[in-house]
Amino acid sequence: MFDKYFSSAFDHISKNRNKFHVLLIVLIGLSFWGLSRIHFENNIEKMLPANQEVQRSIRFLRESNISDKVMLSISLKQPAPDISLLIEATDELADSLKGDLVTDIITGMPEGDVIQQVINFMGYIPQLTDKSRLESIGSGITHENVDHKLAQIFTQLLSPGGGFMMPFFRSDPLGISDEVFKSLRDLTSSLGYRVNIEQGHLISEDGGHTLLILETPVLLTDGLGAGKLLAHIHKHVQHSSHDIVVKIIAGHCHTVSNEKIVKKDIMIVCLVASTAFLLMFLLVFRDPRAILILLMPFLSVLLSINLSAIILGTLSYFVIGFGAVIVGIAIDYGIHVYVAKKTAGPRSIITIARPVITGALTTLSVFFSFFFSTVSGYTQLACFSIISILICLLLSMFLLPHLVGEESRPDRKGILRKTEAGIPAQHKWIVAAWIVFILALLLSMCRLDFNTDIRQFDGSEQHVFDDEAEFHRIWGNETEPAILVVGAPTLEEALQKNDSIAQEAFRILGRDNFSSIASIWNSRQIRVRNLQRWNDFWKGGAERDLRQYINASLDKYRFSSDAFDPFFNDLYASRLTDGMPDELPFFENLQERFVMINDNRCQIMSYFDDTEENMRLLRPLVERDQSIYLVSRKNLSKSISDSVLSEIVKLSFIAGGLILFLLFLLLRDIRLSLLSLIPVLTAIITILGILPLLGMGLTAISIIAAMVVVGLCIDYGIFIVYHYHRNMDTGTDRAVTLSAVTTVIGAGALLFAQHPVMFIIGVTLVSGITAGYASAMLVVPEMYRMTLPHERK
Amino acid sequence: MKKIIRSIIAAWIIVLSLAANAHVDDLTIVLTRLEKNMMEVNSIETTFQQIKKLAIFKQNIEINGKVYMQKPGKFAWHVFKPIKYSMVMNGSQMRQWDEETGTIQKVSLKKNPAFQAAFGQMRLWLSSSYLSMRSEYEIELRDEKPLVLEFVPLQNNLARNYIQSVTVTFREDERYIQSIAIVEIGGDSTLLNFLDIRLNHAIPDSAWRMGSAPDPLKQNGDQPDHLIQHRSDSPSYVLHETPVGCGD
Repeated sequence: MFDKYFSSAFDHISKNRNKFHVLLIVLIGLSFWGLSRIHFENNIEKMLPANQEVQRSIRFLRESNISDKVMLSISLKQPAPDISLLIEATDELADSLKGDLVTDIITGMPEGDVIQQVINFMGYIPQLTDKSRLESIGSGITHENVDHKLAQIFTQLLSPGGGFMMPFFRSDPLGISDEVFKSLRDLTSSLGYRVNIEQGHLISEDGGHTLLILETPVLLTDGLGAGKLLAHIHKHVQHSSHDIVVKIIAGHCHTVSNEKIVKKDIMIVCLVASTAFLLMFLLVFRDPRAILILLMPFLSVLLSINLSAIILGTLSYFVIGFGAVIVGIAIDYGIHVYVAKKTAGPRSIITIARPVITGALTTLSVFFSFFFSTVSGYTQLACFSIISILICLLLSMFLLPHLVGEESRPDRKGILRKTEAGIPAQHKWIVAAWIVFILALLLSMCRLDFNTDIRQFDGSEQHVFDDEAEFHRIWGNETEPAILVVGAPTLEEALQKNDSIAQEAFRILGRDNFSSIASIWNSRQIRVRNLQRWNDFWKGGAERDLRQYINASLDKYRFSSDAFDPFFNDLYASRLTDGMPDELPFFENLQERFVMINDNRCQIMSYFDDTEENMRLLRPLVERDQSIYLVSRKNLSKSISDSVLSEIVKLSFIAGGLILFLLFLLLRDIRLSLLSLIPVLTAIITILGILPLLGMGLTAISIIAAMVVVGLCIDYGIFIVYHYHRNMDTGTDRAVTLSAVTTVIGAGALLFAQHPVMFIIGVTLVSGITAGYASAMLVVPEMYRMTLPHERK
Repeated sequence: MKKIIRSIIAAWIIVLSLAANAHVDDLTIVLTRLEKNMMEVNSIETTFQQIKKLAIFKQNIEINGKVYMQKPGKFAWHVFKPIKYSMVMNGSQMRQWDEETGTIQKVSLKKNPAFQAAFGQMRLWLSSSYLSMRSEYEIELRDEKPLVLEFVPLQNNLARNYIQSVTVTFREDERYIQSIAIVEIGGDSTLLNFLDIRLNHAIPDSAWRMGSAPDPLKQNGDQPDHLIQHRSDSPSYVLHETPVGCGD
């Protein structure tokens, strides 16, 4: 039945092939045009599991641009006796860097009028003093305490730096603002770097380095932009009039370095693979038209990109990147068709159609399983892959035979020569050796680990890691803090939530371990309440008492009668403000770190040490409100890896089930189906057994590569079983050999790659395909003979 | 006629430029000479008399005490009248003690720019690094016999917020300072006179101990460890430890 329908379709297309060729050319032309019209996405969130914590953290890091900052550690080649020359060189570099690629540069702390700013900030103290603090102040207003305090002020004023502190003493004789100032200092130093401030610049503890923090609109994921940014920095370092050494610390360095390594790897891989493919196609097939086999999957991917975009509306770049894998899988259909036609003539296409289509359908089932994923990007991937493979199957079955020649007789040269159909000579030791091999690998599998550390995929050059190690040695901050994010539609609402959550976090972690803007600034709601209480407190007798006690001690310490007038004059002068005290530049700097306003949404960030214990302690605080969440970069990479891994494992099981179901459905024989699975089983066990022997763990990348191996090896199994079961003389065994060799050549070239991801793919594909192919060619025939000796058709 | 006028203007510009250069050169020569002279001084022991005229006080305050300096980084300031107070700096670490509280406070100047600016000033004037101070102060030669220099903080200098000018008068031999007059922004001023200056004498170990000025704190000696407050991150005048929070 199948042969009849296929034959009829094949003949129909043969008769009207010119029309189909024209149609195809038009479609290809439209597809090239369509490429420029498609909206491609560059959002990695599409490829992440629908884990809310992961998605929210990634979105936060992207929007906050925290990761996009560039740090420059600058030193002089010849150390100078004092810091001035280094500061001069730093300022010159900072001035030269500003432009489109560097929008802002932090060189240090603004010093100019910082004292006046701080004194002005003291005007807000009445709004920031809560009930318990006020009670404490009240209990301290006694004659003895006030006298003691004035004595301290007197002592401090007579110290060498006393004059500097005088404005603070006059405005706040009781030291009411001390706690806020301590919090202010803690917050400004909560960047986590070991810096000293000298001449308004960030100086290392050894005094030999300055630090510049650059703001850039270039995203980490923008390889081209990152390259331009680094080139811009290097150019201005070289043009500096000072002899300086600059270490650049930024995610962009990893992007550029990875890209450089990947490009180099791709060049090597392409060179090795192209040469090998060309030699193989020309020497084995001895026919230039064999190159057309390569063309089929490329055309399929081109057409599929357009069709998928029409269906889905948009496509992710990450999905398009998977096109190379599709090409690797789909090229096999062309090889089978070409070999069959050259070996057994044009009509042999009909003979091999069933195993080729069965193989393609089982491969499709792997990608079909992606529809069961919670990752939206995987749905795109499934749609794109299925369309690509279907188109390639159709092109290989109906177009390729006409393109490679119209000879009516087989062209039996070299490997395409006619050979006898049937099972090769009996070698029972092969099965025994296979069993020993499998058992040995199963033993090795016991040492297999899941490696979820995402850093293993960072293939940056060694100098990038060396520079980072040097940077952390000088500046500290080896670990970046975790962040508690509070979101709300308005700043006031966010501040209210932040006040409440910060109080709990202070209680849980301690004030010194939780860096929140709530320690120096509260919502208007709370400030109004505090101010009312403050006024009531002082008007209720505290002012009178304090004046009395101060006056009693003035003569003792030779203070003038108006010594503390600034305090009393401003006692009720605190003015309420909406939002933040924007008139104070130092507060604006703090705001940048603690407050983020995007698209009419406000987020307030608080920082704490990124430890599992801290995360565990704070997690209950965020569970009751969706707009409050934790961002831990340390946990994030693990969460992503874990989620991706569990997603892929789930999909692997679904794909496995679908393959089995399709096999039984198409072959309608449980023993044939099981025989077809031998290469898949061997390949999977080999991959899992080889990885520990090479000291490698199982990663999400190797699982994805293993899925490709499954897709290919199931084809080998089906072809070989069909080949012997149907007693075919269409050169199927040689087509399998060629397809395996082409895949191993392509994947083998990846073993020369420096980049860890490419190397992992190479190891997985080479080991899996080699084992799958060997078992298909050696074990399957022997097992077939042992299990189905008299059932050949 | 035009030619003559142009020639006169050109000559005048050249004269002015030379004069300006001569002035800069004079200052550089003086500062270099000072640095050279003072470089030969490795230790200083001197008593001082300080007159503070501050708006917060109803009368001028006279302070008496002793100063010790030992290169490269030791500096001690002991006051014994009208209060008993000691401050000792060693590199970036500062300790201070006063009789009123009876405790020793430790402050890391590197971690505390405000303290660094305040207490670093005095050490700065007593040091000999005048050439390097040109990046932070505009320096003017006021007199040559005896040598008098005036320092005005530049825009980038934190001291600009409270110091208007500092006038330093040197000894005849230019090996050390005779007096320092500091005029603050608000009109307050401090005059510091050095008496009995002893250069390159062995400094007694007690000079670097808290409350160990020769008289009358000698008997106090250093304070027991349990009295030491480690406060590298907060001002010294904190009385209350209750946190400021968010209301009830």
